[in-house]
Amino acid sequence: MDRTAIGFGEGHTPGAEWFDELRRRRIKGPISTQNRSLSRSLAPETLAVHAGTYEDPITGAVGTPIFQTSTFLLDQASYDAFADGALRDVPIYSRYGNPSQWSVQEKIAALEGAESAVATSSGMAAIAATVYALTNCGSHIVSAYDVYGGTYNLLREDMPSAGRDVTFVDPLDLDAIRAAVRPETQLLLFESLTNPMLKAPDIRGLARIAEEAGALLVIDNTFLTPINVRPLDLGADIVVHSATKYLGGHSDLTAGVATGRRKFVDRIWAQVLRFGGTLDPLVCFLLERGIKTLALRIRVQNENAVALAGYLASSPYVEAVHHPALGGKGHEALRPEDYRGFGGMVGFEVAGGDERALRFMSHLTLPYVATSLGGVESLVSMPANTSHSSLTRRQMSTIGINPGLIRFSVGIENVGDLVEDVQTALKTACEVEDR
Amino acid sequence: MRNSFNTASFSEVVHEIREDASEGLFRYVGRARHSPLRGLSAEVGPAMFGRVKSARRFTYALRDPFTPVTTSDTDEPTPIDLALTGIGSCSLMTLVGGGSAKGIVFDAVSVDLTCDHADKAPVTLDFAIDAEIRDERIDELIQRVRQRSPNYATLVAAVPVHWAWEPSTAPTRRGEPADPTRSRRSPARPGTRHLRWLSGPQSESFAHPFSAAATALRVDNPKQLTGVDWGPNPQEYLMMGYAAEVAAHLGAHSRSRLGHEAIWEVTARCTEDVSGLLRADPAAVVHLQDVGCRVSMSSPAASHARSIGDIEELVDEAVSTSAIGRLISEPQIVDMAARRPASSPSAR
Ligand SMILES: Cc1ncc(COP(=O)(O)O)c(C=O)c1O
Repeated sequence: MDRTAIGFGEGHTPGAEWFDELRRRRIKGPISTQNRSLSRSLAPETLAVHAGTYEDPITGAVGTPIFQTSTFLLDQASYDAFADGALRDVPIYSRYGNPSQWSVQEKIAALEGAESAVATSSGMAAIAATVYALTNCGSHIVSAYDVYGGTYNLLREDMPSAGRDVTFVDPLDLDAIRAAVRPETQLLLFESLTNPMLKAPDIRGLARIAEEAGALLVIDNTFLTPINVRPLDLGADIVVHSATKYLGGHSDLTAGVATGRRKFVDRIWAQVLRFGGTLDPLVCFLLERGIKTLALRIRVQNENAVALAGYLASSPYVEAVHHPALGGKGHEALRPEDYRGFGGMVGFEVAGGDERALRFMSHLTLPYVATSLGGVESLVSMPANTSHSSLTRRQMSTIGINPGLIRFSVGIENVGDLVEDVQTALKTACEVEDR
Repeated sequence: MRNSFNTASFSEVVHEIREDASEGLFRYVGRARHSPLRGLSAEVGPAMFGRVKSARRFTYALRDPFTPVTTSDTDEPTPIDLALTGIGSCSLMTLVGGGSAKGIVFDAVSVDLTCDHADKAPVTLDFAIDAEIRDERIDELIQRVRQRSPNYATLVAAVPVHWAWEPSTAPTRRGEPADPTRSRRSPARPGTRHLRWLSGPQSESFAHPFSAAATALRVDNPKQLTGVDWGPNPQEYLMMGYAAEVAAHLGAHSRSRLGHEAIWEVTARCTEDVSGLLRADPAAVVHLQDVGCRVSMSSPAASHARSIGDIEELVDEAVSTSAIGRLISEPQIVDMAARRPASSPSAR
C-alpha cells in the first residue's frame, strides 16, 4: 500500500552524478495505486462513474471517502518530496494535495482526455491561476470581447498591472485573431461556447493559430463539458471549467478545474497553491459524486435545449433564438462532427424588449430566476441586468445582446412541462398584460 | 529542494527531451538599440523552450563603450558587463545545479571574471565555493563546468557567427564576419565582474567584489524552467551584450561613415541544445549554436547620402570588430580556478 503518487518512489535518485542520472519523469496524475485508473479510450459514461475512484483497501468502501483533513503524517517520502521539489506527489498538506482532490482530478482528466488536472475553489480560481501560471510579465494574451464577465474582468482589470497586455477579438473571426498575434503572444483564451450568444468558435482553427504563434490555447469548456466536446483532442493545450456549473450539476457547490498535459498543469497547481485557491475535500466529494451522472444529465439537457429552442423559434412572441443546432449567424463554420451536442443553454429575445422579458420571467412557474447555469433545475436570467449590466446599450448590441434577451439554462425536467410553462408565460407577458 | 534547486523539474526535462529532442532546443533573443537621442539600451526578446514560449520584459539603459565615462553614469553596465554576467552566471548555474543533482549542499558560491581583450590574454574565472565537500569534489565540479556550461563552452569553441542586414527596401543581406585577423580591434574596455549565487538558478552580478551595495544585474531562469523571472537568463545576457556592442559601434560611426545619424536596432539570437548541459544526450553539442544578429537602421535623414554598400561595410565591421563577437567566434584561453573562502569550516 503506497499513499504517494505512482512513479514517485522510482523517481528518487540519491546516487546521481549529473542531471542525466536523475530518474523522476512526468507521469499522468498524481494518482496513487488506490485510485482507479482507467483507459482514456473508455466511453465517457463509464469514465464519469468509475475513473479516479479511491478504492479504500481497508474498508472496501464503494466510492471515494471524504479525506477531511488539512494535514498528513510526515514520513521519509514526505522528506524526499521536500528535498527534490516533488511536492505534488505526496499528500503532505491539503492546500498542496489531498486524496479527495486526486480522485476527482483523475475523473475530470480522464473525461477530458488529459494527463493531469487540478481542482480549484471556483472556476475563476482555475482561470486566474492558469492565466498567471502560463504567462510572464511582458507577454500578450488574445481573448474574446464576450468572454464570461469574471474572466473579462480578470483580463481587463488585473492584467495591466501584472504586465500582461490583452487584445480582445471576436472569437469567430480567425483572421482578426491571427492579426492580433504578436511575437510575445503567449496565450489564446477562448470559450468552447460563449455566453449568452452561444457562439462556438472553431477550436481546430484556434489551435492552428496558437501553434504558429508558439502560444498556448486555453479553452473554457464550462458550457459544453467533455461529454459534448473534448478541446484537447482538437488541439487545445489546457481546458478550464467552472465546475460550479455542469460538472457539479446540482447548483450546490462552487469549484473549478484546469486540465491538460502534466507539464502545464504542474505549473498551474503551483500557482493555485500560492494563490490559495485549493478545493476543500468535502466539495471534492460533492463534485466527484455529481460528475458520476454527468453523461446522463448532459444527454437530457442537450435534448431539452434543442426542443425548447425549436419551440421558441416558432413562437410569435420571440424575436430571435440562439442555439447552435438552429444554425444561423455565427454558426456557419461549425463542424458538427466535433460535437456530441451543445448543452443546455438557449438564448432568445422576447419580442418587445427588456420590460416584457422581465414580465415573462415573473410568470414562469417551473424555472427559477437566478444567475448561474448547468444544474438539474432550469434557471433563467437576463444578461442585460446581470452578467453584462456594466456594458452600455451600444456595447451590448455590438456583442449581440439586444433588448429582451433571456438566457435559459435548461435542466433535466420533463421538456413538455418546460415548454408549456414557457408558452404560458410568454403569452401572459406579451398578450394578456399588454391589453 | 536542495539549494532551492528544483531537481525534480530538471529531471523531468531530461526525460522529456529524451522522448522528443526538439523540446531541448532553447532559443534566445537579445535586442539592442542605439539612438542619437536616447543612447544605448538592451532588452530580451521572447525565448522558446522547446515549444513553450517565455515572453519576459527586461530592459537596460547601458553605458555606451564609445562614449567617455563621466563620473555620474559609471553605475550603468556596458555591453561587456552583460556578456560577462552571462558567462559567469551560466557557470554558476551549471555548478550549483549539477552539484544539487549530486546532492551537494552549498553555503555560498561566487565567481570573479576578468576579460581584457588583449591578444592571447586569458579570460579568467575564479570561483569561491563554500560547501562541506572534499577538494576532489570541487575539482570535479569545476571540470563539469568546463564540459557542460553552454556559455563557457561557447567561449572556448569556435562558434560561427552570422549577420544579416534588413534594409526596408532591399532584400536581407547575410554574411559572415570579415576575417577577424584583418579587422580592427574593438575599443571595448577590459571587463571585470563579480557574481554571487543566491538560490536555485538565481545569481547577482556586480561591477567588482566590493560594490555589493551598487545596483546588481539579476540573473534567473524563466518560470517556464524552474526560475521565477527575477532576471534574464545567462544566454540572454550574452545575446544582449553582443547586440548592444554591435549597436554601439554602429551608433558611434554612423555620422563619420554614412554622413548621417541613425537609429540602429540589433537583434542577436542563438540556440542552446540543453541536452548538452544536462547530458540528456551524450553526443549533444554543449556550446551555443546558430548565433547571429540582424541589423536594421532608420534614419531621420530622408535620403541616405551613402549607398547600401557603405552601410553593409559598416555593419560588417561592427560585427567583426565586436569583442563579444570574438569571445563567441574565436576560441579563448580561459584560466579557471576554485578556492574555498577563508572562513569556510571545511577548508580548515
Ligand atoms: C464560462 C464560465 N467560465 C467561468 C466561470 C466562473 O466560474 P465560478 O463562478 O465557478 O468561479 C463562469 C461562471 O459563471 C462561466 O460561466
